[in-house]
Amino acid sequence: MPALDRLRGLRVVADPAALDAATWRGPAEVTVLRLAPDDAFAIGATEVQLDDEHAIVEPEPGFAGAWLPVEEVEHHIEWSLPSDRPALAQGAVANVPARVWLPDDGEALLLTAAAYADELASRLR
Amino acid sequence: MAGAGPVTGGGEAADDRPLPPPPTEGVVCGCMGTTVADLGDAWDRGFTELELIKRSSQACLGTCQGGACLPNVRAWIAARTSVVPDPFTARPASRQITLAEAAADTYVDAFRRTPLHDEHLAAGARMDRFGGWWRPWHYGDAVSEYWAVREGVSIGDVSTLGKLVVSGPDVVELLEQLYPCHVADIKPGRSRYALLLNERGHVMDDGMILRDSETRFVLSFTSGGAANAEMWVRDWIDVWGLDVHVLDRTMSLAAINVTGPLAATLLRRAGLADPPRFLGHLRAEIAGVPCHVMRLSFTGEAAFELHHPVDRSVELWRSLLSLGEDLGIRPHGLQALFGLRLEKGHVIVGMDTELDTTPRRLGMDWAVRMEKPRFIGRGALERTAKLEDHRRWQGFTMDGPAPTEGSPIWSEGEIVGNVTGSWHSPLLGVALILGWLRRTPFPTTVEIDGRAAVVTPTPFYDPEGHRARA
Repeated sequence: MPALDRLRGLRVVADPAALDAATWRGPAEVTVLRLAPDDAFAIGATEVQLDDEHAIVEPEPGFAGAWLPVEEVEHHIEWSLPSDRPALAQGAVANVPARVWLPDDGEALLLTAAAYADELASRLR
Repeated sequence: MAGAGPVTGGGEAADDRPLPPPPTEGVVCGCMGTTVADLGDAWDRGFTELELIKRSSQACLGTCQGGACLPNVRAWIAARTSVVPDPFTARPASRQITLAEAAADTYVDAFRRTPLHDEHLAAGARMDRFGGWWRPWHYGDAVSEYWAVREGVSIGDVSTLGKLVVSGPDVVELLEQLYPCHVADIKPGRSRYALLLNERGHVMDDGMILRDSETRFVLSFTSGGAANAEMWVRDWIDVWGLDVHVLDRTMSLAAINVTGPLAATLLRRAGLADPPRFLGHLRAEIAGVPCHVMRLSFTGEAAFELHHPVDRSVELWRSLLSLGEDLGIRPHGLQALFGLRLEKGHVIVGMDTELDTTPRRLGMDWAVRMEKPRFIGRGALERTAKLEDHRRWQGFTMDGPAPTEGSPIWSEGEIVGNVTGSWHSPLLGVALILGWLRRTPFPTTVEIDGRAAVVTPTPFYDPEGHRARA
């Protein structure tokens, strides 16, 4: 089990349509996780342009994550991961609130609030 | 079943069977190992009802949930009172986890750690679970931590507080309906303490309302109540169809409370030339870390909460300790914090309150503005205001050591309440107590732990609040 590293990016809560059309920028690749219709966590993003004057845009240092084989994540959950790719799944992993980002390369990004990171890592060892 | 009466049990199992002879010695509850002597101890400490004896002695709380031992406990009580107590609600036997499950550690609730967890351990903290988080209870000497706050400067980890950002064209309408205090007149850069009530007018939580701009606010909540408060806010936005965005920052922002008469001195050293006045807030860099600085007070002394990104917390904590070294700075844990707040008579929702606690029962009518036409709980408060109340949360003082929290409060041979918080004040030299009185007319002297205690107005310390505003 690799260590859960801190993930940095931007957290944006805005009108869903504005989020759909948002433009993200960062020094490297940006991965946008849509946590809810009005809530996105853009890993690696440092800037966003979107059309919602009341949007909440904040730097987000509050998540930690690690890339794992999908099978390893499945070993620690009591629910089924979605079969579509890419997909974002949210639920308990080893009984800790977590999210699983599933691109289409057989790997999974397991992420949780940094406050749970040590607890989750200890349960996956 | 339209027209059906109350459901009643039927069949042989529902028959009220004769009780066994009252046990006189040995184990009463096999699951928990509770003995007759344990029941006697609970009784002698004032727990003389079945529910109280159960909680105090642990009898009937094991795997069988009273299936085997409840008749024995009822018989034991009946022998002392000549009244057979009604059984409590029957529940199926609980399932204990196996050693394998315990070893896998996945059947245990996950407790969160603040980014300062390792700093606390390195400083010798005794950590405890509180409100879903691991928190430092003390760093070896709670009384010294207390004095650092009262006489110098101290820092505390309050990262666990709930933090919500709300933004949108309808945000003032939302908050005016959500809170029993006025919101529209809070100016940007200012804040207000607020209770959060449910539809019955009962206190759910409390915290601060901080205004950033015309359409953006930050709301804070208690550590244990934050998750419920967030759901509550989101639900009402949905119900009222309001245009407001919500972002929960509880686990993204850490918070350090800098408190004590030298707190502002320390912050000036850390780069904050002009600290905000009482109930003001601003954004500034403190020791190079971007912070939302909030001036408020839970300890009774000047206090500044520094909300900042969780990944900069260790850096900020160490800088403050270093900059304050010659000021005698030391961190304080929850034990000192609870004592400090107790001297001020500040309520801790969830610890001091019950499920049906109203502002009036807490003596906090001042936090409710009934002249407002609408807010959640207003109708219930208006109706119940016409009724005499039989409960009051009160302050008490007594000589000697502080009684155990949860102790019964006695008057004229009857239990009339219970202690919710207690602390032997190093400054005032007496035991200070907060607790409930549940019998009218409310007595002015009571007995706690076999000693006399006097009902005393709160705050016990600095009632004018000069020190918090200094």
